[in-house]
Amino acid sequence: MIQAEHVVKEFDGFRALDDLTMTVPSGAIYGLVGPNGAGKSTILRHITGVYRQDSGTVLINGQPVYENPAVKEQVADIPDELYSFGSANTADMARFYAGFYPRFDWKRYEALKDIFRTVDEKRPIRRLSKGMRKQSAFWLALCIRPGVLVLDEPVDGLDPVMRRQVWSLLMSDVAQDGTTVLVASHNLRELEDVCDHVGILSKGRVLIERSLSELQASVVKMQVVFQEREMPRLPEDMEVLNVSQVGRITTLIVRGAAEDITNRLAAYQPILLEALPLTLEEIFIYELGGEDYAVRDIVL
Amino acid sequence: MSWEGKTMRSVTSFSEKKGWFNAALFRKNLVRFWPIWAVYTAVLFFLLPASIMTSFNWGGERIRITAEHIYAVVEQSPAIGAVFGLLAAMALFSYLMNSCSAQMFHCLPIRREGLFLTNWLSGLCFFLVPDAVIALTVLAVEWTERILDPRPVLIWFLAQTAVSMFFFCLAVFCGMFTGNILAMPIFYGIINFLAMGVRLLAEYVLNVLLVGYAGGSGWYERPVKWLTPLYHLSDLLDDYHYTYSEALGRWIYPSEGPAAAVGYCLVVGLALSLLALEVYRRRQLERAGDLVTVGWVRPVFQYGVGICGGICLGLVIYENFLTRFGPWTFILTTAVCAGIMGFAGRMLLKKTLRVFADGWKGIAVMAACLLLLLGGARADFFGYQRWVPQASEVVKAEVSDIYSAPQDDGNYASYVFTDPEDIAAVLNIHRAVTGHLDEIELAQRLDASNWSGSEYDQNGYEKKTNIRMTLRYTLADGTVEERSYQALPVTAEALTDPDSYASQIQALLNRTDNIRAAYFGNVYISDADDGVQMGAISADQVQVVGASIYDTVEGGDITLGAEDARKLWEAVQEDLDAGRIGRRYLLDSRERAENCYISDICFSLAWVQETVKEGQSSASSVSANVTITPQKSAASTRKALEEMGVLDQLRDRGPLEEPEVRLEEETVRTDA
Repeated sequence: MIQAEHVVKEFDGFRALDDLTMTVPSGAIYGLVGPNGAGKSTILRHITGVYRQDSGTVLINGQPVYENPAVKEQVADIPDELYSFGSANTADMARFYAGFYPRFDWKRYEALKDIFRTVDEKRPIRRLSKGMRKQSAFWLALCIRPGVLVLDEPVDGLDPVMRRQVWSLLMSDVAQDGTTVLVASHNLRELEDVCDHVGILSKGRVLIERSLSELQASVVKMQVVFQEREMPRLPEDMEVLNVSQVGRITTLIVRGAAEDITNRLAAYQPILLEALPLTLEEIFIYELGGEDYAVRDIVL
Repeated sequence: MSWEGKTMRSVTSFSEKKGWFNAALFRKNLVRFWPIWAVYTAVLFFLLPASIMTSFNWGGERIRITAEHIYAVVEQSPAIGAVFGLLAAMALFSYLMNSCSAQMFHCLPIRREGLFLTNWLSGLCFFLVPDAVIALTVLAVEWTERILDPRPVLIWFLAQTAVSMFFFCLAVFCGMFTGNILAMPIFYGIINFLAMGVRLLAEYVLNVLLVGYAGGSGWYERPVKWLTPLYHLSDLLDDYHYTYSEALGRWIYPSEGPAAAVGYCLVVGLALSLLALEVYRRRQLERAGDLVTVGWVRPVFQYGVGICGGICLGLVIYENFLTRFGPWTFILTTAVCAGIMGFAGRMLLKKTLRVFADGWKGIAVMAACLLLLLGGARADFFGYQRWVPQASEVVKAEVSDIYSAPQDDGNYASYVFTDPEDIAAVLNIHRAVTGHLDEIELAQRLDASNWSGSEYDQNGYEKKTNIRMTLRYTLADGTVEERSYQALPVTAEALTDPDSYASQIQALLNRTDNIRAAYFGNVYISDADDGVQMGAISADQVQVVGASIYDTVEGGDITLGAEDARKLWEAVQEDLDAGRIGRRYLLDSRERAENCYISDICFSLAWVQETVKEGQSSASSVSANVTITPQKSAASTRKALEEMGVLDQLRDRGPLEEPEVRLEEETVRTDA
C-alpha cells in the first residue's frame, strides 16, 4: 500500500504539492490524472524516493521511502523521460539492475525476449526509437519483479498492439503477485480500461480519490427533453455540474446516483429521460470544471 | 507469497548491507569511464617508465639523473592531478547534473551515502591503481637497468596519488554545489584561487583607497596560501626545496615537502569529502540543471558575484578612465558595478533576464553596504593612513625605495636603523608625510596616470618631482608594519624648509654613515659557490682589484693600474669619511649639476668570505663591483686623479651634454 499524507513540496516559493493526501491500496491499479502542472510527476518522484518532501509522510507498506533501500528494492519506476548510460544496451542495463535488485529475474528476462522481440537487446538503448526504449524500460522493470510499479505516461510512444501487450503483462502481475501499480497519464480512455482506482489531482491536491466504479456511480449524465422548451427550475439541492442544450435535448451532468436523479427528474414529467454512465474523461473534465479549469466550455 | 511478505524478509537480509556500497555501480564506473584512467595511465607512462627506458646511458650518473627526473615529475603532479581529478569528478558525479539521470540513480535501492562512497572509491581506483602500476613498472625498469633507487619512486607514488585524490575530492566538493556540468570546472577553478584572488582584489582596492598602503605581508599570508591548493601544493613540491647533502655529496630532494603535501591532501581532502557528503545528503535533486543547488549558497553566489565582479569591473573602469577624478569616483563606480554584477548573478541563478522586479532590494542593500565599507576605508576609520608608531615601540626601522641622484650604486639604496636617534629621525619623516596625505594622494594618482610629476625651471633644472619611499617598522612585540608611498612630491622650495619631509629625507640620505651604507650596504656579490646574491661589504676588508673611469655620455673607459686603483680607493674612502663625495640629491637641480661629474668611477673588489654551512665553516672567494660618481667637492679623489693625470677625463655635467634628458623635458612640457 502506498500512503502519502499531507505532503507539501515547494520549488522556489511555488507550492507544487499542497497538503496532498492519497492512498493506493495493495494490488490496485491506480490511475493518477490531472491537468498539466497539477503535481503528478512530483508526487511520483516522492513515491519513488527521489524527492524529499518539505512536510508530510510518504510510506510504502508502512515504511518511509526516502533513503530506504529496503523499500526501494520493491519499487520499479518508468518515468516519462527515460535515462540509460551512454552506450549501454538492454542487456547491459539488465546486468546493472541485477546488481541492485535482489529479485531480478533472469528467467523472466529470457521469457520476455519473445514479447519484446522488436527490441534488439544488444543495440544501445539511445539508438532505439522512442517506442522501443519504452519497451526496453518495461522489459527491465518487469524483471525486477516489483511490488510497486510507478509509471509516468507509460504507454506514450507504444503502438496499439504493444500497449495492449504491456497492459496485459501488468494486469497479469497484479493478479498473480499482488503488484501495486500507480500510473499517471493523460490517456483517460486507456486508464478507464485498466484502472480500478482513480485519483484526480489539481493544484497539488487530490480532489477526488475513489474506485473507478464508485466514481462512475457518483456522477450521472442525464439526457432530458422537458415538456416546455425552457428547462424548468431544478431543486436547489440537486448538484448540477454542467448543463448543455442541443435542440430540445438538454444534457445534465449531475452528482449523485443514477436511480435517485432519474426519480427526481421524473417529477417534471419529461418527454424523454435517459441516464447514461460518464466516461473517466468526462468525470475528469466536469470535476475540474469546479476548479476553474479552462475546459469547462468544451462540448463533448 | 505476496510481495509485501517478501519485502519484509528482504529488509533484514539484503538491503541494509547494500545501502552503503554497490559493486555493480563500482564496476560500471570503471567500465564507463575507462578513457579517464587510461589516459591518466598513458600520461604517467610516458613521463616515467618510457622516459627512463629511452634515456641515454650516463654511466654512474644515471641513478642521480633518473632520481632527478622522477622528482621533476613529482613537481608536475599538482598540474596532472588538478586536470584528472576534475575530469574524474565530472564523470563520476555527472548523473547529478541532469534531472533524468538524477531520477534514475536515486530510484535505485541505495542510500545517497552509498552512491557517494561507491563513486568516491571508483575515483580512488582511477588514481591508485594506475599510480601503483606505474610505480612498479618504474622499479622494474630500474632493476633491469641496474639503477634501482626505490626512494624517489615511493615519494612520487605517494605524492601523485595523494595530490590526484585531493583534487578529485575538491572537484567533488564543488560539484555538490552545482547542478550544471559546465559550471563544475568553473567553480573548481574559482575555489582553487578564491582566497588568493580575494586577497589580491582587497589589496588592489586598499592601494587605491589608502595612501601609503603596503599590504603583502599580513597575518593572512599563510591561510591564503593554505586556501589556494594548487599554488600551495605546487610550492610544497617545487624544486625550490632541493638541499645539498654533505653526507651524500649531492643535491637531494628531501621528503619534508612531499610529506607536507601528502599530509595536506589527506587532511583537507578527507574534510572536503565529508563536507561534500553532507551537502549531498541535503541536496535537492529538483535543482539538477541549476547553477547552484544548495539553498544558502544561492545568495552567497549572487552577492559574491556582485561584490567581486563589481570591484573587478570598478577597478578596470577607474584605472582606465576615471583615475583623475579620485578614489570617491572609484567607490561610486564600484557600487554601481556591484549592483549590475549582482543582477547578472541573479540572472544566472534564475535562468532568466527578468530579475529586476524581485531582486532590487537585496542588491540595493549590497551596493549600499559596499559603498559604506569602501567609503569607511577611504575615510580611514581605522586610522591606517595617519598611524605613526611611538618611538618606544620601534626596535628597527627600514627605509627603502628612495631614488636619488646621481645615478651610481648609491641611487636606490635601503637603510636599516636600530639606533633610537636614527629611528626618531625616520619617525619625524613619517609624521611629516602624514601631514600631507591629500597632496600625496593627488601626486599618486597623477603618477598612476603615467605623468612623472617632474617640473623644470627655465634653465632646465628640475624643481619638482615625485619619489617613492617605503618605511618598514619592526615593533617591540615582533610585528612588522609597513607603509609604502608611491609618489611623494618633492619641490625645490620644500628642500629649503628643514621641517619638510623632503628636506628631512635628503638630510637622512646625506648623513655620512648612510652614504657609506648606500654604496656598500647592499651590492651584488659574486660567490663561486652560491652564485650572485645581495649583501653588504666592509670597505676596510676588501682588496681593490682594479678601477676604471667610465664616460657615461660617449662611452669608453680608462682603466687604471692596480696601484692607481688602490690609491684612488683610499682617496674615495677619505672623501666618504669627510662627507665630500656621495652626496645624494632628490632633485636633478642646479646644485647637483654643478657638483656632480657625469663620469663614473668603477671599483672591482675582491675578498675572502667566511661562511658557515651546516655547522662547518668554509672560506670562499667573492667579488663585487661598486660604481661611484665623483663630485667636485671630493678633494682627495680629485687630487688622486690629478696625480694620475686623468682628472681632465672627468666630464662636467651640463644641460647641453644630455640631449636625451632635454628631449624628455620638452616632451613633458608639451604634454603639460
